[in-house]
Amino acid sequence: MKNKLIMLLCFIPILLLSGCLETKPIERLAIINARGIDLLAEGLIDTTLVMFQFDTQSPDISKIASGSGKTIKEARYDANTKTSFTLTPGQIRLELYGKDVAEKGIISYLNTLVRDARTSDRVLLAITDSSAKEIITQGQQATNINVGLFMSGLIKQKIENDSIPKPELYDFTHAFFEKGQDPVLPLISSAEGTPALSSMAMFKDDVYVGKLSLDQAILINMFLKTIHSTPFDIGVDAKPLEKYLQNFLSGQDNETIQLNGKVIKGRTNTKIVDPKQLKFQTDVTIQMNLLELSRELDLANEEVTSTLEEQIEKQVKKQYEELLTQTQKMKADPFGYGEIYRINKNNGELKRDQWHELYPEIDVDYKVDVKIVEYGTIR
Amino acid sequence: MEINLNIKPNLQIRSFYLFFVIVSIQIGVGIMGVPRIIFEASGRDAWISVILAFLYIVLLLSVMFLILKPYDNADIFGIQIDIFGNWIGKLLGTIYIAYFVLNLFTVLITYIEVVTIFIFPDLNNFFMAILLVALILYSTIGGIRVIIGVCFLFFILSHWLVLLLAQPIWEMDWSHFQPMFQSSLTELLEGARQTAYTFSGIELLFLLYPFVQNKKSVKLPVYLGALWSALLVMAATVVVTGFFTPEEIKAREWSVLGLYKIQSFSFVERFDYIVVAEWMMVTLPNMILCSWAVIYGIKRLYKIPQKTTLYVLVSLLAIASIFTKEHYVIQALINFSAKLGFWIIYIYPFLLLILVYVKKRIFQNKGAVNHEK
Amino acid sequence: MRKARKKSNDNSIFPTNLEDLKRQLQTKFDHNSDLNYTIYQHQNQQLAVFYVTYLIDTNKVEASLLKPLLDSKQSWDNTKLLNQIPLSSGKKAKTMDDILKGILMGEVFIYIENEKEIVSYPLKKEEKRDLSKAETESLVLGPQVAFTESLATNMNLTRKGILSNDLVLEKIIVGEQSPKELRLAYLKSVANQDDINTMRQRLVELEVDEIEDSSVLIQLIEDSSSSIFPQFYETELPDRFSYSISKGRVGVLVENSPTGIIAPITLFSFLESTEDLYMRWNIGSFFRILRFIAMVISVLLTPMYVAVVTYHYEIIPMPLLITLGQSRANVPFPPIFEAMLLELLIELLREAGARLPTKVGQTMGIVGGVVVGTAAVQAGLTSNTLIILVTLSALASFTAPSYLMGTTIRVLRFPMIILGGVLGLIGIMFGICFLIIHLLKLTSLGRPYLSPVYPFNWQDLNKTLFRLPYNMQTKRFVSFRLRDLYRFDKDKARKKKDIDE
Repeated sequence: MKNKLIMLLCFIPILLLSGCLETKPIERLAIINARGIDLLAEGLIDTTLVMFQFDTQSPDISKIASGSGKTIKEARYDANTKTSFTLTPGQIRLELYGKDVAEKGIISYLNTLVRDARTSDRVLLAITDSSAKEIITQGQQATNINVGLFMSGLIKQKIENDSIPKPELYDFTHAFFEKGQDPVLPLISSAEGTPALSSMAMFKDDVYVGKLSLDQAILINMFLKTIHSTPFDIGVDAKPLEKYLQNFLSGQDNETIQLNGKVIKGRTNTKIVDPKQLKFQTDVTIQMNLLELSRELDLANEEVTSTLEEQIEKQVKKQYEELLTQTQKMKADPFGYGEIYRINKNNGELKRDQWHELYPEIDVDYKVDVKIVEYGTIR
Repeated sequence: MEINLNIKPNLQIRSFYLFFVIVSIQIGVGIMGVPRIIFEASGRDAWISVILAFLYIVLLLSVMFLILKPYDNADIFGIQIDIFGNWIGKLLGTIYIAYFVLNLFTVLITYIEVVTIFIFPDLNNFFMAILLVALILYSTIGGIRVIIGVCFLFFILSHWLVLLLAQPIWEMDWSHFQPMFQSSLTELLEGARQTAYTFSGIELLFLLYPFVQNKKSVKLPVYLGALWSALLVMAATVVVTGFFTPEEIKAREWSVLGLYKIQSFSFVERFDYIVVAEWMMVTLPNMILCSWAVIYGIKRLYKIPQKTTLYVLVSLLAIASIFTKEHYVIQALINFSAKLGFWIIYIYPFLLLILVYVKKRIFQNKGAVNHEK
Repeated sequence: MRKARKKSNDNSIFPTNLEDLKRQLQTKFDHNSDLNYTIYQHQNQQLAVFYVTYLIDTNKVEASLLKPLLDSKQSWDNTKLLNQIPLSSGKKAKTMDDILKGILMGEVFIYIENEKEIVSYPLKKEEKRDLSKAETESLVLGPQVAFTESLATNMNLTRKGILSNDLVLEKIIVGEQSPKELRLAYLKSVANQDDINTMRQRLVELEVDEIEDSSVLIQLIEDSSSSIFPQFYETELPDRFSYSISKGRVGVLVENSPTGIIAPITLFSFLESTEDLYMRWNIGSFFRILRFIAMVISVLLTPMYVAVVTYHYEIIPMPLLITLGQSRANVPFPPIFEAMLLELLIELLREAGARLPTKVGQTMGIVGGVVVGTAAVQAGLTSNTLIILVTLSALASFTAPSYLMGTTIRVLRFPMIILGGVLGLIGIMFGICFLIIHLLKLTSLGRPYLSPVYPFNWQDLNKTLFRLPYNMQTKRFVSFRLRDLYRFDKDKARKKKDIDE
């Protein structure tokens, strides 16, 4: 009898509770999966939302809505006045920031994302070349599929083969709060209406300061993690290899030989040589497979391979140095040299912005070691 | 009131279960937020603070065993009455019980707050409290055998959460620990002191000791339990320090839950929801043990039937939860509980130890070797 | 009851004359014309032979009783009767009560006029069906035969399973209005004495008018009657029954009931099938674990769907979200209602299928469910995804070897669906916690229901959660504190021969 009483006691509150919680059945929601943020005049935020809306009336489930307001939430409510379903942010997978916004700094928008328990920390972030609204609306027309999924696909496949640093919300905020490092994000531009991942955006703290190429993205990513099975293109000087060239196959005379390969394993190791002089040394080790050459070489010959390796090393070193000077001009450190500097400082503390001043002064010695492991089935 | 207890054989527990009891009562809601608190005190070297705290707990446990040793089969209430006499002993016992009530209440409202923030923003405090309290009532009424069973099973059923930490561990930034050993000793000790709330609960040993079947093998499981909780807190602290930057740690109230926010699998996109729900299995044994301590203690001291106390206790808990919706109230309660706990759990046993042995010496000199039974 | 019997023992109705006896009997059997009462003249003696026709094997009466009785050239008395009639187990009776009871139990009574006692022989004609295959617990491997309604047959089958004089089949009679014979079966050298005593006590102290079936008996003597979980195992397989008894459990057979009761058991017993033993150990373990997973799936799958679709759209991965969303879009009801509707449909079909004559009926029921389900989807009443989930969980619930447990699992789903629909994941978690605590509190014949998981005993895990090769199963169930723990010698089982030995 007592047991039954207890059981009753347990189930009564549940019945009472049934009215208390707000239900969110998916068929009555407009589930946002990508969001573009632009700035309008007078500090108004303009959001463009790509969403799924499961409506029996229409076969097309992806919709676009936009709204404006002083905060992101306000903008969403504004957008909601134009849609029949409740807009919900729980499934946002991609956040796009227009160039104007990015140049003013995006951290305040990110903070609202982090604060909201409903949004995932795995949201992808990207910058658009023109306004986010343009990219989204044109993209939706051009691609004919959900443009949010399309763009996340663009970025995700690059992340999967380690071609670009991971641009998730967590990674961005991590790099932002790290005092000796600055974040990079992919930059999406429109190729005749279709969105395309064209280059990378370099940030100084949360402010967009310049563009980097996708090739450079691999170099940066190799700094942040060990990369695996990453497609890799590089042009090397043809001169030292001239005597090995099999000219009978291709007649053209080019200054450079274009190589296409796949990095099996690429990693870097950085030491600080002299903290006072800000001298660093970075060892880059790349193991790669050769897939394609613009001119035919007799790769079975060990001599040829080692010369080729040397040329690639030289080229990679050059690229790294270029990237360093380029970013030094922007005073933004995508590599995290500042972290290494901080670790080797006495108290291990670095003030915000301190590194931005020091970074242009640093001097890095790149030691590249390239190893060609395989070069196809023609050996 | 008799000092030593005679426990019926069917109520006795195997000492091996003490491992699970100790872990269950130590690991509750505290671990969700403790990395942040330690980090604020001792910075990058937070993990050293955890080690220090563990060492202190080992010392404390040995002291507790030393206090229990001279008696045949006594608990804290009996010992206090033996040392301080009936009135003060009962008063001290009541403070002990009050501390358990406070601890129980903070766990309850903290878990409710976490659920409110992470899953249901419009959840009614009172109803959630009733749900949890119903479970507490249902299991506590089953007696010590069921309570230990709940600890044991929920321990096993909730520890898969540790495996999920693998993902953040992969993405950890080891540079966050460097340069090491920069914090001063006072900072480290302050960090260790901040674990007081999280590691509290070992005082339950004072109550549970008479129930243990094989007293000879009681020490190992207790120490192992303390080690395991320390390892868990350590793991949480290390992963949080490595995974988040200092600013992020300071901004995140429940940094450990933040670790689960990045988890995603092909079949479940967001693991934090499941983790927060699963956390019920972590908090429940904690609350159940506390409520058992309360009702058992009151029965020992005032001979009020356990069932009566239990019904009163759970109704009070449910009602009190209505008034603690605001975050700062909860924080204030936790802070108060931590402070009180610090003195009761971490300092007081040393004093008691001295008194127990002084008294023993006096009695021996007088020739009265045996304690009254 | 016993008092009444004692009283009547004293008032013997004999000696009496035959006409008197007839009259007395006929007043007791008022309006019952089936009492055959014949008076024979033999060697100047008057003999009365009486019985109820349809309870008696008349051929036997004629051949073994009447023929020697009437062909004999001597006069009879009771001693001669018992010594010379070629029938065993004859006995004497004195009172009316005993006579009446005997008549109903299928005995033939012979009264020689003016004797002080009456002699009776049991010549019962038992109507019983032949042995047949097990229906609810059917197996692929191993003995297929099932218990029947006849207690004698069932005891026969049990004895055949355990050829040992250790096997005790204790007789206990229960029921005040219509007494029924029970047999308490155990191995006296193995079973725990406490278990035997508890069971015996519960049976003997039972005060009911009658016991319809062994499942009724279970409900009468269970530890906790408010629980949804069965606490005794009810099996129709003699091999399972004798296997359990040989492993130290206590069994009960009930007259006129085609199932045997086994106790004490644990939750995991309901997921074990004897087939696990007949299969290789690794395959047996796999299926045992599969059944465990099936149980979890069956209880949680639909509630999870309801919880996630109602409250937590965030945790659905994007590709799944799109399919789910599209299939939900047509449905006009909230998910909880939709799920309840479909689960109810499956239950209806199962119930209807069970009433159909053969097993085909059941299968047809499930297939019909899927067909009706598809129609329901097309009509926009439910979503595709839910049909799959509901069918899957219904299927999973049927993997439980015990029909009772399968039913329990299926019924458990309904409160879980409500919890999931009302409180989302938190509700489901609440349900799980509640269930676990409930299971912890349950006992079977005073032994913990969840052993060997709690109280934990790793030696028993290989008999419940999984199964190890036979040479590692040298012990019986440790948690039940049996008298004889060892099945065979561990060292001999472990001994390995060298190559070419």
